[in-house]
Amino acid sequence: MSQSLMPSFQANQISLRLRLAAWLGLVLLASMIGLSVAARSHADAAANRSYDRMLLGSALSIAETISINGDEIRIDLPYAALDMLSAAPDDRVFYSVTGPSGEYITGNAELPMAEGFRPRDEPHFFDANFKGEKFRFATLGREIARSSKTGWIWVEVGQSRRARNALGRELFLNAILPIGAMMIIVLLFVWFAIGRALSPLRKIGQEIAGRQPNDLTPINSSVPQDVAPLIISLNVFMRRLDENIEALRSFIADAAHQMRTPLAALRAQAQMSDEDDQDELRKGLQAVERNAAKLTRLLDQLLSDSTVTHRSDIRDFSPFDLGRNLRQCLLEAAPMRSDATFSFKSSCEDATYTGDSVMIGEAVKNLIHNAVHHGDGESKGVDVTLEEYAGNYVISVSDHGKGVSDTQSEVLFERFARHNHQASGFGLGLAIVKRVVVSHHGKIKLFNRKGGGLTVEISLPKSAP
Amino acid sequence: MRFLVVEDDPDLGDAILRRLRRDGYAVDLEGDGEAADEILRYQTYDAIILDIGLPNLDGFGILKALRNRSDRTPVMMLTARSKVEDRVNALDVGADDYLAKPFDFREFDARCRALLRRSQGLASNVTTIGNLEFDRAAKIVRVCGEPLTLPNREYRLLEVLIGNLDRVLSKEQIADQLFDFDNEASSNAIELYVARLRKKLGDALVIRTLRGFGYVAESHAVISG
Repeated sequence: MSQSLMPSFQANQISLRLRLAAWLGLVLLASMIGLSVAARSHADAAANRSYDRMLLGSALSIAETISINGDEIRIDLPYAALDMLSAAPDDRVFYSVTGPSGEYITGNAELPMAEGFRPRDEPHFFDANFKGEKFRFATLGREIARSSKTGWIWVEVGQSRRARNALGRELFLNAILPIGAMMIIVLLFVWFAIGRALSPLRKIGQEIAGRQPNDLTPINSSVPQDVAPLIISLNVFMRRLDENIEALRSFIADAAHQMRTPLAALRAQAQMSDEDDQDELRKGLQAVERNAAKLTRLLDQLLSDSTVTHRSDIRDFSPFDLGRNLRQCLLEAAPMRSDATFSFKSSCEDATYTGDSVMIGEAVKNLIHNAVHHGDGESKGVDVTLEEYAGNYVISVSDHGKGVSDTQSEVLFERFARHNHQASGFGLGLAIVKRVVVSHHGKIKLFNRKGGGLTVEISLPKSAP
Repeated sequence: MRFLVVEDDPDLGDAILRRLRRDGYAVDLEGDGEAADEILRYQTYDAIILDIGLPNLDGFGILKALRNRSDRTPVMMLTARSKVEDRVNALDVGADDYLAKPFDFREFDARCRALLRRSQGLASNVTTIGNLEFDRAAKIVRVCGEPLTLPNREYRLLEVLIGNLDRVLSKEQIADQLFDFDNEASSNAIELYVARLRKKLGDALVIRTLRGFGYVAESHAVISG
């Protein structure tokens, strides 16, 4: 297919592949963020738990050594108590022990207190800023009951958070890195999978592009269920196109067929006219003229047919005077040299009708023409009447010919149908009339007249439904 | 040589009729299918020109009926349809040839000659009997190489006789082939034509009279003397 045919539509929408991948990427990103938040808090909690345990252990072992000797509170700071914390060599460690009345006993006196702190048995952990750094503190209370000293002694151990934060980070990264890698792999996989899933569309596109221009057979290759509706409508469309082309082709074949016989007669008569016999020559020329007229009539009808077909598609309806239209048709369609008499009777004073005056004119002219040619009875008259009846305009065209039988009237509306081979018509006239009447929602009726002749009656509703 | 032309278009039929008659053939024209079928049941022809689209009975129907009666008369079909299927169909039903409308009469003539030649089992347009040369295409008769001018009727009579060498033809058989319904001939007319032909041909062709039976043209060359 040539490139110039392509830009009639624009592929300006984001590709399906990108769209799907973007949606999936968004979902993955959101879950990644969610997972990170969760992993971060879990990692921090886990790091806190293990370091808090050491902090508490250290506080406990300090508290173990509290002894009361009379009024004196003694603490033997065990080496192991702080050594436990040396597993984190970069961190600083401070401690303090405070007596019941808040007096400093040992360690760094200025360690911060937890807000709202109340001495009790259970250990208490909290974070606080200390010496320009974040620290984690553990406090532990011991109740003493002596005559002189009653109350709580509490032990506080603080450690900077470096190792603990490092552990939290490590735990977090260990959890999140494999997940992230996984997601990238999933995204890549999805990208290729979508490409593969969409490949049937590409294949169908190639199949259609590779077809012969006149190949309108249905697409038969198996497609995924999702694409099936598209293929079905494509096949239906192609079938309709095929039917239209076929109808057109058979119309052209019929038209060509109709032209051949008069042409053959014309040629044959012309070839036979090179004789010396003046009489024969004149007869030959008359035959040539007769067949030329026949061909002219055929071309007129073909033109009329395509006019009517075209106008019934565009539906250019407007009000016009039906009576004047009919009179004009009679003037145009009545042959100049004819022994036939024409009459027009109208019982309507005002016959304003909304429709396509050109189409109605074509229909009536074809009827008059038929009446002239088939009405070969004793009196060669054509009568046209216009009446108003039950909300319809009724136009009738009558001749004095032989009329038609019931079985004939069935097929007369088909293109190129003729009820009499001897007659000069081509069988297009009534097909044209029918098309006009149908497009105006009217009805058409054929009946034989009393005393011979055919009447064609068209009724057109005054107001279109 | 007598033709039946079955064609419903009066102008075309008339032209074909005049063309064939001008060439000296006897021709009948019929425009109705059923009527043509009737005629073919009692009258034999040397060739039939048959249109396909006909009122009442189409060309295919006439041809089928003809072949069903084992009538081998050569048939050329005329049709306005140009589709291959139509041609195939015509030939399948038993037509000998096919001509699409519109046509040129020169082609029509050539095909008619071929049609008659084939029905007589002749491969070429020229038949030679001793010193006599009969050329159908050029429509010329030569005796010892010298052209001999014959009027149409006598030429057609010679054609009939040469087409039936060594076979006895009754006067009626000859009349049937030389005259159509429009120009009925008496047996005297046949005698007259035979006499004229004998005189013009001289020794070139022996046409014997068998009293009470008819005439026979003999194929073997005669040594004059």
